[in-house]
Amino acid sequence: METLAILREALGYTFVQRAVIAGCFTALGCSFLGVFLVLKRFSLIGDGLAHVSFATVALALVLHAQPMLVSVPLVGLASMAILRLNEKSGLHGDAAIGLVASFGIALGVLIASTGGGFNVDLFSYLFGNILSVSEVEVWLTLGLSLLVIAAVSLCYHDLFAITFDEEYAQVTGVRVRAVNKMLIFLTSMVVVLGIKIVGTMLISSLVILPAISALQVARSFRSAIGVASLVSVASVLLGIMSSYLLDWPSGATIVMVNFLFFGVFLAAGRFRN
Amino acid sequence: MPEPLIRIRDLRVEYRGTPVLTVNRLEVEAGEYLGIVGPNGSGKTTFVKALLGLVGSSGEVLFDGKPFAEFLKTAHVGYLPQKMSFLDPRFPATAREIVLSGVYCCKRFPKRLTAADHKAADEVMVLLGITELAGRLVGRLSGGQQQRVLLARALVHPPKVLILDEPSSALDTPSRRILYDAVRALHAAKRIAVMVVSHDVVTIGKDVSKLLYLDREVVFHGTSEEFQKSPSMVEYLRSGQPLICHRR
Repeated sequence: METLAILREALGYTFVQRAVIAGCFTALGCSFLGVFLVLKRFSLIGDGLAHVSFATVALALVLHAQPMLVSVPLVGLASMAILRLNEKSGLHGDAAIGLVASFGIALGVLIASTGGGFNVDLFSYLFGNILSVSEVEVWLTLGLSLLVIAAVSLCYHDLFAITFDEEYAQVTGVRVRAVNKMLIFLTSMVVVLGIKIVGTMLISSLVILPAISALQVARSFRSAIGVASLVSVASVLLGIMSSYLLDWPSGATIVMVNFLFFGVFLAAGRFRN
Repeated sequence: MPEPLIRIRDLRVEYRGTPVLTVNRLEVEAGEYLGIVGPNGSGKTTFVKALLGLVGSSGEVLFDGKPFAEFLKTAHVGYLPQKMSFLDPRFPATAREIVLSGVYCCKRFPKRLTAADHKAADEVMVLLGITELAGRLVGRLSGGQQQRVLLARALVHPPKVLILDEPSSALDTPSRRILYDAVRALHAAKRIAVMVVSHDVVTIGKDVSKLLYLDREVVFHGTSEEFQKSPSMVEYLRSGQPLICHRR
């Protein structure tokens, strides 16, 4: 009862309300894309772009600019660079991601060390600080999440087609390259969304974990997206509440709740099969 | 003279600068049932992929007098790819979702399913005897069942031409017969053009109206009767080339 009273009190605080809204919408955006990314074996692209966002956040802090606003175009550009490196330079997919990711981290470290004076801020973006989400960031999160959800909903059939069988999709007139580009660009958007929620080091887990949890038990493609959405939102809510009660870092707690869900769903999937 | 359904002129496919397939002149008529045969590595799959724009090629390939991308705006090609290796056993889609994915070919943005699409999916699944598989995950089906689901996907939106690349590669003999019987029935009922790639002239020989024998170039193109007496085939066989590679 006491716990419930503490949680009720917590929900009365504006910063917790902002955290819940921003967290839930970020989780929804990530889970809508996650199933496609995991099945297309694009999971690591999210991880690579998250490393790039480390550099863009460092740059924003040097320029005293809003990190999300700086990161949206730059991480978007990095996503296109990964695609182009894959297509034009003959690099294998993983190598292109590794190249861009290590470049992002190195650039971030250089900016941080030469900029000076903001290392504490940068640390909060490495591992997230959902309880410090500002009103502007809530609105940005809402806008970007809704953009991702709308794009996935409107292009669901083309995304499904290229995820299941790219060759057949091409034969039926789907513009495979354009849809792939859109998928990677949307991934860069959810990476930016997750910067404040779980941090650049953990954002890929918000994309991957709900999706792979859902894949253990899903009975259809639509249900996979539905289950991933539920898992991700539940993880954010439980993570925020647990971190508030236990005074744990919120980003890491959200990821750990996601891991718990994955363990339960893995066992449930094995048991059912 | 009516425009052939597919017209090919000077088609050439190269791999790292080495020509792997050359087809100087070939036409496929509407309603034709063409068997594409030849030994391993003769370019059968490459030929099909070049027609569909899936591999780079030079030369001219026209469908109804139009480039393939233009043709796709008003018509549909049903395609059953050769290997099932792309199919992830953990892919979470049901057989019905896969079949329904075949109806989007001629839809415009935003693509939405209609009651007619669901009815078409039901009908094609009945036709191919896979109704009971509708709710099952496609990755958990047997090779033969997956093959029929993918054939249903190719047929759910009536195609103008159906291209099957080694459709019996994952099938046992009875399943193979069921599949070929279904294709023959469809060809007879709807007069769609069918192009089927096979190692096995014996299996498809009864169904096809014409045969195309490839060995990096066209060795023979004509009717089954002409095939048996063809001087070009006799010459080809004298040079020690295999005629049929039977499946084990």
